[in-house]
Amino acid sequence: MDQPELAECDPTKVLENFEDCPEILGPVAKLFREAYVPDMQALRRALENRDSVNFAFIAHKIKGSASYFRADHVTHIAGQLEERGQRKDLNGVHAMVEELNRALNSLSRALKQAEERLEVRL
Amino acid sequence: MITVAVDWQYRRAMLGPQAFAVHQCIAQKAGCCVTDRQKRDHVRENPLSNPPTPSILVVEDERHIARFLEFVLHKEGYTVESAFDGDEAVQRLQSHTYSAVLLDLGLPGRSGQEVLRYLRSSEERDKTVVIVLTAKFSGDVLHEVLAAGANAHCPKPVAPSTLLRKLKELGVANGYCAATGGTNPTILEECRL
Repeated sequence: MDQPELAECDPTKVLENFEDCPEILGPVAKLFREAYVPDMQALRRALENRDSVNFAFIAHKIKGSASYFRADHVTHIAGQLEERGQRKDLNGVHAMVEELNRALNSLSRALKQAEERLEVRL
Repeated sequence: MITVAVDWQYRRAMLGPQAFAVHQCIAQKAGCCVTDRQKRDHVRENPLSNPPTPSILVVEDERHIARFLEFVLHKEGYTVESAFDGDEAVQRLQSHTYSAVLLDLGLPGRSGQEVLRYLRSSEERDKTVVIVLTAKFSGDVLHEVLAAGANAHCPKPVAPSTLLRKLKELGVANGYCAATGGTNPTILEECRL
């Protein structure tokens, strides 16, 4: 099945929280990239195990984590997933989990672009 | 001359050798102590002129957020340590008294609420300023953490300016040379003397 097209994250927006300290974006983005793949694996595992408490915890973690990059789409979907976990209602959330994964990949690409822009600026 | 309360090794690592050399040169011209030896000599000769640098414990399981906060606070001259889960936070609190703790609530192991209760269970640690950081702020959570002894809260994502303002409002003031990148006007005056 074709996935609906996802709006790409905006590198300019990603930079907003780093205006006063652009030099830290690179190291912070690297740590974020290292963390989100295992976080998504843990989210999928929690879904497989129908572990709604852990599912809500991981979705909350991803939400807070992406919020530093002003990634509204990621925080929105992660927030919805957290809420579903809290309600112990994990039926039909697979598609949302995959959408979250695509949104995180888009954020990762935006971070790379933002880093490249900063390299030119610094 | 005033001692610069800055972790030079950290700055060197962050800026790279060339930018660091320029940075250090500017600081020297502004009359700041820039080498460890100068710092030690200055402290020995002027024991009362060097207020202790406030130390802050960042308790946050997301390493990139902890790193971001560490950087922002280091840049302002604070001494910063991080703990990545509730148990590590309690261990650090057992061995060190911090001026302030930035506390995430959703932590692996002991929760942020448990760490807060631990902090407020001793008279000595009771003086530590606690700012709670979290992405979930319902009125209930806010009421609960303030009742448990938190001094303030900052919703995530934390804006550096808001965090630094709150720390100053709560009396956790930094003290380092503005010529090296800080913003404390009092210290800037001292630097110029």
